[in-house]
Amino acid sequence: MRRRLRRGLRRMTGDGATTYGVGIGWRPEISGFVADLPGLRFVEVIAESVASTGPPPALAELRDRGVAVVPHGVRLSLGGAEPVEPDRVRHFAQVARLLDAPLASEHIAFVRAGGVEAGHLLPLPRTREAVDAVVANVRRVQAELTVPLALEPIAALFDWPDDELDEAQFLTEILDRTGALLLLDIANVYANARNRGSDPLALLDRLPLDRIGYVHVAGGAAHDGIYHDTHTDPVPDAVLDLVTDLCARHRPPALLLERDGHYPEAAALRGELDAIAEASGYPAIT
Amino acid sequence: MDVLGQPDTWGIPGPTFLVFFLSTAAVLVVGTLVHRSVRFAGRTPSDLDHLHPVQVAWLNGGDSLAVYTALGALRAAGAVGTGADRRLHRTGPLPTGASRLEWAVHEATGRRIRAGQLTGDGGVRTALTDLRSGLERDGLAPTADARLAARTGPLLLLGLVALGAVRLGAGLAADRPVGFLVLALAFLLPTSLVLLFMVPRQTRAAKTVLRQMRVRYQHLSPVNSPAYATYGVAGAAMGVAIFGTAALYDLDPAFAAQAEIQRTAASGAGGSGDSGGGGDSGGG
Amino acid sequence: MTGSLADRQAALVATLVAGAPVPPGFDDRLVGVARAALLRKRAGETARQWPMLAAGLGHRWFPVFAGWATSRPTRGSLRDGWDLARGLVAKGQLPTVAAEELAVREASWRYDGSTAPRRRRWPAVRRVDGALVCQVAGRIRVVPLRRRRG
Repeated sequence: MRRRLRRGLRRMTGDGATTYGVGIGWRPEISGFVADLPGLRFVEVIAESVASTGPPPALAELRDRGVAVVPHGVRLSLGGAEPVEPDRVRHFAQVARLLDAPLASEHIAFVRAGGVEAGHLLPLPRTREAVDAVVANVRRVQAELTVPLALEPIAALFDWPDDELDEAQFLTEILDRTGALLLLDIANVYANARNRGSDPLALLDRLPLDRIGYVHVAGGAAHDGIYHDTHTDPVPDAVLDLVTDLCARHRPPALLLERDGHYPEAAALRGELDAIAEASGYPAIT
Repeated sequence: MDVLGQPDTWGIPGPTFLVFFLSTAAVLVVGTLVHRSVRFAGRTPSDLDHLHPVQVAWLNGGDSLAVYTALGALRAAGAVGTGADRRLHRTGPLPTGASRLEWAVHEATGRRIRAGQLTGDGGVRTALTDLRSGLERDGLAPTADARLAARTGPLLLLGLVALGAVRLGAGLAADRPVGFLVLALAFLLPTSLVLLFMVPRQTRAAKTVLRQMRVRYQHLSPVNSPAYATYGVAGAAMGVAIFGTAALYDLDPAFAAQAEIQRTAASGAGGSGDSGGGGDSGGG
Repeated sequence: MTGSLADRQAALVATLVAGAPVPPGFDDRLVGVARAALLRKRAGETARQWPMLAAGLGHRWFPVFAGWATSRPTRGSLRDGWDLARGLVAKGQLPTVAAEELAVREASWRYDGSTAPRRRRWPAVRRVDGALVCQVAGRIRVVPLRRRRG
């Protein structure tokens, strides 16, 4: 009974009912650091890394303490032409239940085709056929989830040759037809705009900001004139500036620092969390 | 004289001797265990935060783990390295807040020493003795007196076993039944040897502390591939102290392999079978 | 680009991870950059599972890995490194420091090269140059057979 009440209190929607402020991606490598963040109220975990028997003790402790834990899928391949695999959907939904999650998220991308694993998130052609494929798969997942689903558009180094829709149209159509929330990765917005020489604010203004469930903030690095969203580098000032721009238009309920490797000293991580808090106007969690 | 009219060994009937023998043995075994329970109880520290990683390491794995913990701390701080000759050498200054053992290990690396020879180094041995005394004062390690006293019972037991062996020999020579005596000796000999040699290094309080540390520092276990840069030198040291040299291999595999550090407390080489736990960076 | 969504996606995946040529209409340079970025990420993940293999190859790690991996889609970083290490052994090119790491893995897990590796339940022993790697109940003990030089 208490659990259901907790879930109701922690519903994470775009209407500003509950805000969670700044959070961090939970990883076993930094679980000790995450556990010691005094003001932490939400984390995200890679859904495929959670066993069907239950989350690791450190993560369960956060959940039991009242920290919201959001499962983030990376291998469902919602954008694939093939229907999403039932076992993966089942596991995904089960993890959301085990974590008592207020919502779950995945990507508008595909990770396998023709029986070959890409091992990575790949961009979709922005065609109506692709929209149909994504919508069909999202509906299959939503049928098993008991909480809302947020969709994250990815950073793409290249575009498909015959796109029919632009980024904003493609995304909006998918969200409209599925009713899903938007997981806006502000670093991806920056990367895509920078690599194409366009204005990230122009894209922001065309996105349905009121549908944002939460936001990803991550670091990257430039090589040979191309910016890569690596998640293993510090967050550039330009991305933090975009956070401020976004919050000036519509402050999202939550922002998450996403770091996947090359973890720096604790002081540096705390500094990044503080910087995101400052850029978004939320209280510091360190 | 027994039932068949044959003379008893030494003039003492078999059953009588056995009763005397077994009851004495029981008294000695029980006495040893009770004594150990009392004198090895120890004192629980009021505050776990005051325990230095090398102290935790010594309680967990004795001299060698304490030395490896010090080495791990020095390596994490960039103060030591290995060369192609597999000997240790200094690569930087002693980090601040280093314990006496770390100082001694750092000193020793100036003498072209191998990692496996560190516990034999004079300065290191002095530091280890110091470390142990401190733990004895804190009630985490049994005092030398207690350890000596703990051996008294087993020694007496061995004496009793020797007496039983002599009786056995005499009995065999006189062609007397010795079955029960053999059984008794077969049980008592290994028991007394175990009690003699397996005198614990830590008190019961220390064992409780170690259990608590394992839980509190679970995030440093090599199975989590801890981010040592985030946890700092103290984190790296505590990881080795609690989880053994497997943590040293996790911290710096090239260093650990080249220094030929023995893998104690290593579970079958990590590695999750699936990289499905990875993040979602970049894009096509 | 013509073809169903499924065909087009399969063609792109083949280009990025199986060494197939870039499909028409794509920017060659950018797809090449993406391919390289994927390989780097994969090399990094594999190096985390096989640190001694990466350390042993030193600055040759990425070229050797990339050369091996370009036409082989990933099977997960554990298997990628394992297959590469076994390949190098067959050619006699496995660095010495990596040999012990491979022996430890071979002693702890059962891997036939085509299905997922499984932990061994029974003890196992593997030989490396100058040492025996023994695995009992998941614990590893490396026993030197002769004094190593140095």
